Amino acid sequence: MKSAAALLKVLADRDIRIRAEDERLIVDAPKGSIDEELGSEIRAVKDDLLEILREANSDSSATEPSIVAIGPQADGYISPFQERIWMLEQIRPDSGENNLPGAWRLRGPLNEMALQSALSDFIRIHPMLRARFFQDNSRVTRRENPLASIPLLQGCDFSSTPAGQRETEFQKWLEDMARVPFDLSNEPPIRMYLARLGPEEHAIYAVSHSIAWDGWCFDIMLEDLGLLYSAHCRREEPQLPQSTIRYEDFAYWQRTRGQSDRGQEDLLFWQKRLAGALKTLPIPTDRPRPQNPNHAGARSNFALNDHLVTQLSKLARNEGVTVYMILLSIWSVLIGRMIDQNDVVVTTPVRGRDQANLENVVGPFTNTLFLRIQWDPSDSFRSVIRKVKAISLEAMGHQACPVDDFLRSIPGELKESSLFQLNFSYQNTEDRLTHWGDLEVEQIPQGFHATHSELNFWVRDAGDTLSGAIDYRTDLYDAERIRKLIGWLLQILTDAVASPDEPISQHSLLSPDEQAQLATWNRARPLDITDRSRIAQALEIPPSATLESEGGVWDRDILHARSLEVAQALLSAGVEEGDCVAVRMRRAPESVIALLGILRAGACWMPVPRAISNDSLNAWIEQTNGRALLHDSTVTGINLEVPARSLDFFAQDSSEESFQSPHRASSSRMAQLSGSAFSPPQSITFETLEVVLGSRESTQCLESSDLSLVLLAPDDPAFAPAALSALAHGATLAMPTEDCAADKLRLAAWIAHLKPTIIETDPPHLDAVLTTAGQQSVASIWIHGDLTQRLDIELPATSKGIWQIGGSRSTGHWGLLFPQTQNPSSGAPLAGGPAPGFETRILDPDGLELPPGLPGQLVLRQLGDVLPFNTPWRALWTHQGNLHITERQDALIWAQGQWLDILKLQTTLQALPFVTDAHIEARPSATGNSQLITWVAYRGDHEPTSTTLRKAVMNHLGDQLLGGIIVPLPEIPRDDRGAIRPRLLPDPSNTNVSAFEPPVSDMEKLLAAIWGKILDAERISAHDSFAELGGTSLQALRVIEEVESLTSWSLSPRLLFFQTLRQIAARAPQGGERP
Amino acid sequence: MNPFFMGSEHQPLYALYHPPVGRGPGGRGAVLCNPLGSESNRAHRSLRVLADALSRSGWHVLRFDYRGTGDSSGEDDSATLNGWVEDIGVAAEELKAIADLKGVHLIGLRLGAFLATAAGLRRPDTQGLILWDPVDLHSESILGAQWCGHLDQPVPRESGGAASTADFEKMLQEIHKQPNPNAPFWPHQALVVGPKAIPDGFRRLVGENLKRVTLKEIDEAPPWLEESDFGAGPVAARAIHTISTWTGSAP
Repeated sequence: MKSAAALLKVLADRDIRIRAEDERLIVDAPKGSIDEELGSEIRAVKDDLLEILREANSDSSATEPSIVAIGPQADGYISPFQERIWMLEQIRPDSGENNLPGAWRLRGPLNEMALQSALSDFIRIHPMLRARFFQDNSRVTRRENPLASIPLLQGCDFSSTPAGQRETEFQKWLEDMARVPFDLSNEPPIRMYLARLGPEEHAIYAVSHSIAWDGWCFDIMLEDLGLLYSAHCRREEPQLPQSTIRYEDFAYWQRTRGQSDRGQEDLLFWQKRLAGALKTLPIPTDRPRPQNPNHAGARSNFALNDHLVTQLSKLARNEGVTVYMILLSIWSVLIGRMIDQNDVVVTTPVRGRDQANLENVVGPFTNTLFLRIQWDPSDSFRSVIRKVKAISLEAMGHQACPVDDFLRSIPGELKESSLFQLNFSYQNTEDRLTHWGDLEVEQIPQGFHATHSELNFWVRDAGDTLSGAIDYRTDLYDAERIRKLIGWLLQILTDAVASPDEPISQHSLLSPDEQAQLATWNRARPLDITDRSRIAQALEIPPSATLESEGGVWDRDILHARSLEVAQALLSAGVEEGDCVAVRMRRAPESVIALLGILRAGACWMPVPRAISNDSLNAWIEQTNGRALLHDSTVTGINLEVPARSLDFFAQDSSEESFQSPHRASSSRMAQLSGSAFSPPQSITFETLEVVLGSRESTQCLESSDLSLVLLAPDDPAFAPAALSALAHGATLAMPTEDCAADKLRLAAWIAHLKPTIIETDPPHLDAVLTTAGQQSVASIWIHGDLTQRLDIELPATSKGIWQIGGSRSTGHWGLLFPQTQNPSSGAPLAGGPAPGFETRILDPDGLELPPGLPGQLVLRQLGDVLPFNTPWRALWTHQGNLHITERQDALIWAQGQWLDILKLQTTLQALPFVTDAHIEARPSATGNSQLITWVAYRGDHEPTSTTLRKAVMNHLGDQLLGGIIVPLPEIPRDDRGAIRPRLLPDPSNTNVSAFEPPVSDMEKLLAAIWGKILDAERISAHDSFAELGGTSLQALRVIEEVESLTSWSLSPRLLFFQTLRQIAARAPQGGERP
Repeated sequence: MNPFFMGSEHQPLYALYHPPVGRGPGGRGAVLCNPLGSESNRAHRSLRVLADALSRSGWHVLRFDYRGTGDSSGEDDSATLNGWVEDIGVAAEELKAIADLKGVHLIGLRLGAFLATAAGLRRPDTQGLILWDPVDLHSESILGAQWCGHLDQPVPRESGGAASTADFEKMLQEIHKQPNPNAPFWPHQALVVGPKAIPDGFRRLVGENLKRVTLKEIDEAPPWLEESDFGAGPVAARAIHTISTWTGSAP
């Protein structure tokens, strides 16, 4: 048998509250929490429990004031809550949004006289129902009006309405009555209606105002009216205990307590608990959050199945928690999953009637608590429940702090805070009265029209059933989204309750139907692999194909003839099937002809960078058995040291012989440049090229009417596929000259003139492309190259809507912009469909697929690739199966061949046992590129090596390497709120080594010329030092001598040796200018 | 410059990173491999100037101390040739991580050239070798040596603690001729810079790959020889200029 003290702990763990009231032990317990054994134990130690409770009360009474009858001093007092409601009524007097309706069906023979009498008694007993409210100067006050002025039951007869329409009309009447505003100064804060629905069916309907009423008051009303009605039916004098406490006494107590030490403690607790949690939660909505919220609301109902209810109860018993706590946990986790956060604030009402003498007092005692729920993604559901239990119990210990006192104490615009976004409440209706004498009493579910929270999740526990609803603001959400949300809630609740030890982040939100739907939307068009050779098609050059540049247009015949000439010249030069032909040409339409000619000769196209050194060029040609170098006349100084012919494209002689054979050798290689010039070119076969062209075909859907603008240089790996694709489909292929491509304005103007339907570009030319992307003509833009420096892309709104982006990793850093379509009637942009040829998924941070409507990481995989890849964009599936880009994530940078999540890296670092703090940034460096820098503070004196740190991160994250510079610091500079102070972070990527800068002033130029001559140095920077250029003392004398002879300036040796050229020149007479 | 320690916890190596300065093609990195002992002391300034020159040309540069030398950990007896070749590998990996590179150039002076060659032959990510005045490896016993297998002899030290080149060469003469089991990776570019033509021994060592080596003869006082009373070598400006120009011309 447990002792009283041990038993108190057991009771506390099960959220069973007990208190002493005279000789009675009052127990307030959740349903099912007291079994027979516990009941026996309580009874066995009842006296000891009473003694302990009395002692505790006497201890706490020294600091915690009790609510007692105050007397006239409290007359007219209103609570902070009533004050706020009054103000809201003044701002929106006709909204009806502060009304609280409740209706009950009465089945059986109704004694209307008895009911009327019961109502009179009820209003007599509860003074709040006779109140009127007034503004008295700066103060709101209330007065009581005489009983005679109280209107009693108002009748409405639906019994003659046809049966098929009766319920509908009745419900509409209920809704209409619920919206009728109150004149709080001139009418009581409650209206009572009696509706006749049939001979033995009535409804009693109470519409009250929240300035005088809360949810618990309905229970008081049911209880009291039931007792009073029954008494009057029996013609007996009703015996209803009357409370000695008035609401004014509570209001007085509440205001007094707020000034006490205990009240200040509570306020401080809430301020600390909610610090940093007030930012609006980014819950996805159907419409933007308006500046002035409209609290019009709607309701979407649901019910939990019996099996789930049973499992919930079992889990609650096992964990020593309430079902309320479990449902609060799942609500928090669901919202967290929707917004990628593990820290949400859920508002929950508490009765505020802790003291027994308040239980039967009508008035608005309900208080609001803001529960800040935080968890770790790796937590199991069981762990989350335990955390929520601790949070709830802690909050209950400070529930006496009026919510209005807390709200007044926080700065900022409350409308934008997270405090009024999410609500959760749990109503236990099991013990509600179901009979008034012979009348069966049943609550009537009602429509709903107003809510102060964005989303209010509430549950009704009727004993053996659990049902509820989500009330939502209709200015933010559509009914469809809320139905989906309820689906996700039930889905994740079912999974979490069934597997409470699995990490909560692993429970999918997707129902089987949604999974099937996503698979249907994502059924990308398969690659069209046919027997038709696209390369052969390109080389045959369909009649409609043309090549266009600023200088002119080449039709099919010219292309055919010129490419044959090239092929013959190559063959004459000894090029054989499979030989590599290096190509070194500027952007020009002739490069397309060179490509066709090389392939027609059966040789391999091997473009080389124009800036390649002779050594590299020779090495390449040698390694690839190159036979020829095809170049344009702008390339000079070629020194081939290998046995290969150098052919100037423009100088080749045309031959009278025509070359009849088509391109040869399906086994021929086609070499492409890859990476830097230090890496040998990677070769691919024609078969592979066919696949590449095939995949392009399925995504680009080129037609002969298309105009494909290729802004790529000939040495870009994507140049050849781009050109061949366009020609193979008989489209027009357009290429700028090098000069045009280098002039952004000129290029943009030419693009605007061309009106291309497809643009293939590299990142440097993206700006010119995007300025013209608003044209009607452009259907898609393909970006080839490293997009890491272009995360600043502002996707323009076009007449077709907003552009989206995809990509592929295996063939390079492709980017595809495909437009959204436009609503034909409204013109509003609609999401575009996913690109065919890509598998598209929207994932949450834990890699789980998200259902339509929830934004997440856009992850793509091109068909044929093994690995998917992250994009730096977040997107969501619309309910129609389209994709909508929501935002770009700046925390992702491209490094080590992948997108790196800086925040994830940082979090991983901070969690390492030997790291106390860390911060990562990508900062622009002196080169103009971004440099990843990690500042890290280590625990203790030991500083691990950079290798150790990188390995530790890799161990945690698998494939993400912590690249960049690592800078150890004693501590990371942060301000009082923990924010980084970036200026105090040393930047090692910017050094004091100055880049090369040519001499500018006359004196600088003179000195440079003298130094160059004497030191035999070719290139002298303004920041060079004579000594570091290798100058000796003897050479210094020669410099000094020459300077003096030319300028009459006697340069000191010390100055010459220890300063830079610019610094020396600045010390020359007359500011550095030659005298 | 950013000083830090890299490598394993039981063998931390001191390193200095020079970030690139000035706009350029980017994506290029060089690890500087020091000479031995007193040569290292004298050539220190030249190597620093080289690092700055490369940095100005847009290169990422890493200088470091081999184990058992300079500010790196390890006692004298932990300094083995093979260990130093491994250290170059650590430096290469570190530079690749810092600068997001796919490969690096190895620039070695004197013994550093020997070690850089050994390291470069092991690593397919070596994009270029610049061998500055490589040690004269003329001994037959060195030719065909299994560099990776037999380079585990501790480096002999002078009485003052610095390694002696003469002793080192004597040690190398004792290495037996062994077939090299490792398929050598010859980088795409290799440059030898020095006051004279490539030593015969080095020619034989490099073998067929010699045709891929660019030779530049520089007539100037080498940086690893003492020139002044300060004990430092002269700044080998011509060699530095040649190296930075040669690397700068690479796309």
